[in-house]
Order: sequence, then structure tokens, then C-alpha cells
Amino acid sequence: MVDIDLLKKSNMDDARVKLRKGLTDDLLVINAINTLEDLDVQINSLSMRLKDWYGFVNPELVRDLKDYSVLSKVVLEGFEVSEFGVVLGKKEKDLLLNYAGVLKSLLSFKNYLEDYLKNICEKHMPNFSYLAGFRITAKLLREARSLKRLATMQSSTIQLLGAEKALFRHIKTGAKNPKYGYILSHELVKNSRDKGKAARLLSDKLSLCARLDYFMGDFKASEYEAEIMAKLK
Amino acid sequence: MIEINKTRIYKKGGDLLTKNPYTKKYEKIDPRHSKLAAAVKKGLSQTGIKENSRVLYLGASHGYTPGHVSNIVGKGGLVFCVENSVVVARDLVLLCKEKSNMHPLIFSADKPGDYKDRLVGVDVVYQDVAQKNQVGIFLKNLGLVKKGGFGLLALKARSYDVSKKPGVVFKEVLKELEKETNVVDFKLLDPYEKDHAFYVVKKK
Ligand SMILES: C[S@@+](CC[C@H](N)C(=O)[O-])C[C@H]1O[C@@H](n2cnc3c(N)ncnc32)[C@H](O)[C@@H]1O
Repeated sequence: MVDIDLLKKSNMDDARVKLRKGLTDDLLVINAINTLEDLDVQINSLSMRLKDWYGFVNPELVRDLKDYSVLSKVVLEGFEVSEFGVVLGKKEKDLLLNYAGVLKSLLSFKNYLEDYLKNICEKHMPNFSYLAGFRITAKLLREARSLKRLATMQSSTIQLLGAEKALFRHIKTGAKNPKYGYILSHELVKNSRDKGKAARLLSDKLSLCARLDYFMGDFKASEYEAEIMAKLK
Repeated sequence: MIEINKTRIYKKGGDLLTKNPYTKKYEKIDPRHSKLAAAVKKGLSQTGIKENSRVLYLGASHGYTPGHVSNIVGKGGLVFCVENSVVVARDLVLLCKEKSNMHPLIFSADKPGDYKDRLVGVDVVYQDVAQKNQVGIFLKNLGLVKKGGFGLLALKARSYDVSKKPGVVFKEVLKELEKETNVVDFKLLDPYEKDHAFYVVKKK
């Protein structure tokens, strides 16, 4: 006769241990890239909205502003009513200063998060992140779900990670089949005349890097990078 | 309030309900969140899950449907909840802490050998894992059920094979199941879930 209470206790204990061990470096990287991507979207839309507000005060400056990331700084440190600007009431001016303060702290949090992600990628996947850069590394890891799975993937699969939607469309409707996923945004691929060749060379080396990192092998990524560049000349 | 087809799922107005044996309160079960509720709403003749049943639940996720299965089997029943993702299993484990008839099993349903010693006398296997080899996993786990026991399979056509039309997938799966079991009911889950089917089988 099995004692059900004892079984329950044993199953709860096992689950608790697994939850505790569950916060792996894989998950830390994936959580960080998810947060970073959300933050990018939020910062972008909050900046656009702040631009609407500050545009009343200084339409000339706002029109010519290319980089919205400096907007909060402008509002906080260089608040200025221009020729065609409107003098705001005290309440509205306070509101804008408050808004710009929030945006500024989000921007500084973003820097902090990028540093964090970069560090943890370098620690968890030194070869891979050297070659792919930390953002692409994190996105590829998220798609693969773990370094273990990434290390067992063929390079042709790595080349397509991030293109799943287009791939489904291809299989279902016969639409053009995608050739690259996230690695398309890599400098070596983006700036190459022969993108197909660059993507192939890069994903080949990335699959080697994933294996090196998973089995804690040597650092070879800089050699790999040189090889790719030589072949792309 | 009326019971639907002896499922211990009740209908009141437009709502489906199960009764929590611990709080004695009725809880709403939404067919858009639960494939079990969707199948019952579509007129499933039987689920095989009764009071005091012991259910092996594969793909327990945050515990939405498993919580209702725990209501259905009552204090004398058991629900063994298998979920392999640690992130979603958090909520599941917390729910198991509240309800003594629910057991968390953080394992892959792919490898029943790894958790078979953590179960006792299973009457029903319920599976909702949306994975490529869904049918293989289901049949493997049916091995843990007594003869004459039930298997319930929620099948997502797209996870099984994206390149085939759902209708083709459903027929193929039916044939596969009929080789090893007696299929006693089948329902499409639309409009609650698109391209999903629900099979009820009895172990030969
Ligand atoms: C569609 S959800 C299940 C929803 C749940 N049945 C409900 O109605 O509340 C599928 C779940 O299966 C889990 N899963 C996928 N493959 C699995 C496997 N091999 N073993 C255990 N769980 C798995 C996923 O992590 C996910 O949480």
C-alpha cells in the first residue's frame, strides 16, 4: 500500500528542488533579452509622445531632432521656448520635466540592462557572443531555448533561427522560402555583397562556437572571425 | 444547474462550472482556455474522469485545466501533473500546494520511465502537450494505465505536421490510435480552438 501523503511530500520536494535549479544562465539571458526588447519599444513610444509635447515649446528643435534618445536631456537641461514656441503654464512645464525624468531613468536602466546582458553572454557563451554580438546571441539562444539545444543544431538551422514565421508561410502557402533569420542583422552579413555566402560562413562558425561553449572548450572565436573575413574578401 | 453527460462538469446559464471540494465553491471553466471544457461543450459523450479517479495529466502548464480536473475527481482522487517547463511550472507547484489531490511532476512526458515511480494506479491519461510526436508520447503513457482505462488526447494539427491540412492529420491520427486502442469519441474543438481535435480512447 502506497502512503499517498508521503508520495505527495516526495513529489512536492522534487518539484521544489527543480524550481530552485531552474534559474539557469540560459533563462537569465532569455529574460534579459525579452526585457531589453520590451524596453526598446516602450522607450521609443514614450519618446515619440514626449516629442509631441515638447514640440509645442520648441518646434524648430523637435523637427530637426534625429536621435530621440537625447530628447529627455534636452527637456531637462535645455528647456527653451523658441520663436514659434508656446510658453507653457507652470503645471504643464512641471509635467514635461517629470515625464523627461522618467524617460531618462528608463534610458539609464536600458544601459544597465545591456551591460548585464553583455556580461552574462560573455560568461555563458564566450565564443558565440564574441562572434555574433550579444543581442544576436541572446535572440538565437531564445529561439533554441537552451545552449544545449543550440549546440546540437546544424548550422543550416542556426542560419534560419528567427525566420520561423516566414518558414511556416513557405510550407503552408508556398511563399518564397526564407534564407536567413536573426543573423541577417549581423554586420558581416548585412554589409556583404554575397549575403548567402556570408550567412553560410557565419552560421558554420557559430555552430562550432556553440559546441565549444557548451563543452567549455577553448576560445577560438577570434580565429573564426578572421577566417570568415578572409573568405569574404 | 445541470450536470453534462455525467462529467461532473455543470452548466448554469451560459457558464460551465466544476465544484472545488476544498472550498465547496463552484468555479467557472472557460472553453476558450480549456480544451476539456471545449470538448464537453461540443457534446463529448464521456471523459472517463469520475469522482475518485486518478488522472495522469501531461502538459499541465500553469494548472488551469488540471485545477478543474482536481475538482472533478474530488478529495478521493488524484491528479499527477506533468510539465517540463520550469517557468510555467511555478504556478502549477503553488496550486499543488493548495490542493492536496494534485501532485506536481516536473518531467518530460516523453520519458514516462522517469516518473512512473512517482504515480499510483492511474485510471486516465489526459494529454495536451502540442508537440511534434504527440501521438507517440500519448501511447507511451497509456502504458501506465490499467486495462480498460481511458486516454484523452487534445491534438493540435499544426504541431503534429504543419505541412498537412488539419483534416488529413486528424484522420491519420485516428488510424494510428485505432491500431492500439478503441477510439470511443472524437470532437473538433472549433470555434473554441482552431485546428484542434479531441480524442477519447479506451485501453485494449
Ligand atoms: C497547450 S499547453 C497546456 C494547457 C493546459 N493543458 C490547460 O488546459 O490548462 C501545453 C503545455 O505542454 C508543455 N509541454 C510541451 N512538451 C512537453 C513535454 N514533453 N513534457 C511535458 N510537458 C510538455 C508546455 O510547456 C505547455 O505548458
